[in-house]
Amino acid sequence: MRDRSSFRGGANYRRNALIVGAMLFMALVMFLLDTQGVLATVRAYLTNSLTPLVSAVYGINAQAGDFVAGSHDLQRVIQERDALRKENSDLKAQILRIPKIEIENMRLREQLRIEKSHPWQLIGADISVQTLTDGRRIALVSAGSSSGIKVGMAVISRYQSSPPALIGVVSVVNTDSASVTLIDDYSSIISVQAYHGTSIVRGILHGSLQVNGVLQMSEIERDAEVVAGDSVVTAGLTRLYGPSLPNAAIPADIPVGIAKSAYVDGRSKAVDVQPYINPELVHYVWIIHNDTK
Amino acid sequence: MDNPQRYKIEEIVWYEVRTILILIAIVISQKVFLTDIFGVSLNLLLLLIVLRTLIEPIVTTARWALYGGLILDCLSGSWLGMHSIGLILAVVMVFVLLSRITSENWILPIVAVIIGSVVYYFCNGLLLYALVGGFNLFTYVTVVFIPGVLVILVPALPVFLVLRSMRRGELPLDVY
Repeated sequence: MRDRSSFRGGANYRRNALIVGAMLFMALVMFLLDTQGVLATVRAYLTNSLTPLVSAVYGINAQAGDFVAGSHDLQRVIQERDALRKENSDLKAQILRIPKIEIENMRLREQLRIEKSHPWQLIGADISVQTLTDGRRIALVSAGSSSGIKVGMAVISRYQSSPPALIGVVSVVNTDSASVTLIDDYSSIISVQAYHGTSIVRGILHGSLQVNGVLQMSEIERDAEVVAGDSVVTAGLTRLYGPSLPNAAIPADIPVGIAKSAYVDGRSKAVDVQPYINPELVHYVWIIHNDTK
Repeated sequence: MDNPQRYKIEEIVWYEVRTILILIAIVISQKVFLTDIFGVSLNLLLLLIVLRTLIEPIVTTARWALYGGLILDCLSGSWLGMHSIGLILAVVMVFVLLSRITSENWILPIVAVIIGSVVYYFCNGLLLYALVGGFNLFTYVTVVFIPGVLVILVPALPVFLVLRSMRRGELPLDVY
C-alpha cells in the first residue's frame, strides 16, 4: 500500500521533499557539467564498464534467436545431426570451431578487399548494441582509443550485396568502446555530393527520425541537376575547410546512398536519399582509421 | 530509507548496489529482449518507475529514477543526468497529482502512465531541442512522443497488478 504520508501533509513531508529535490538538483548539476564536458571522463569510464555486460547479453540473445530459428527447420537439423554422428570426436570439435573461424576469415578477407579497392586503412569492430534511448540512432562498438579510434572517424559496413557504405561517425571514444552516431540519427550532419552524369552536386546530408530510414540532402543549388538513381557519396568538405575539426577524418567518396526524389525547398533544392545500408541491420563494422596509406 | 529503523552501513550499501544491479538488468533487457513494434519500443524503465510511484514511498521511486536515468545515459551516449531529470519529474508529477486517489482504483495506473510518460517525453524533447542541432520537434512528437506514450499504455494495468500483488503478497484477482 502506498505510503500516503511520505510526501504530502505528513510528518515526513519536509524530509522527503528535500531528498527528492536533492536528487533532482543532483541530476541537473550532472547534466549541466556533462554538457560542458566536465564529466566526460566519468561517463566514459561508466560506459566502458557497462559495455562488456551489454555485449554479453546481446550475444546470448542473438544465439538464442538463432537456436529458435534453426529449430523450425526440423528436417535440416535431423540431417545435420545424422551427419555429425558419423564424425569422430576430434572432427566434431573442429567442426564446432569452423563457423567462428569462417566468420573471422570472411570479415578479414572483406576488410582486405575493401582496403585494396579504396585508399583506406580499416579497423574492424563488433556492434555491441544499438539505440538504447528513444528517438536516437546510436551504436556502441567494441573498439576504442586503445585501437586508435578517434572522434569523427567514419564508420562503414556492408550488408548483403551493398557496396561498403557509410553508416555513421564516431562521436564518443572510450578506452575499449566507442559510440557511433548513425547517419539516420537526427543530429547527424555530413557533407555529401551526388554524381549526376559528369556534374557534381554538393549538399548537406541530415539524419531524421523517419522509420523508413530515408535521409535528407539539403543546401543544394536550386538549378542543380539531381534525379532519382544518382549516387550520393561523402564530400569530405570538412577536411578542405576545417582540417582541425573532428569530422575532417571523414574521407571523400565513401558511398552513402542513392537519390530517391528531388524537390524544391524554398530557395534551394532538397533530395531524399535512400542509404545503401540500414544501419540497424549490421552487426559488424569497419572504422576508417586512415585514408592516406 | 523511509523506515525509521537504523540500518548498518553495509546494509545500506548492499541495498543501493542491489537496486543498481536490478536497474542495469532492466535497462539492458529493455533493449535486448523487448522487440520494436513499428519502430517503437516499450520504455520498461519508465513504466516500472511510474507504476512503483503508486505503491512505493516516493523517495524509493525517485532513487530508482535517478539511478535508472544515469544507467540509461551511460549506455545511450546521452549527457549524464538527462534521462534522470525526466524520470524524477515524471515521478514527482504522478505523485503530486495522484497521491489522493486510492490504489484500488484500476484506472489509476493508466492515468499515471499517461501523466508520467507525457512529462518524461516532454522533458527529454525539450532538452534535446535546446542542445542538439538539427532536432526536429514536430518529427519527435509524431515519431517518438505519441507512439511512446501509446505503447507504454498497453502493459500498464497488468504490470501494475503484478507489482501491487508482489507488494502485498497476494494474487491480483480483485480488479475488475
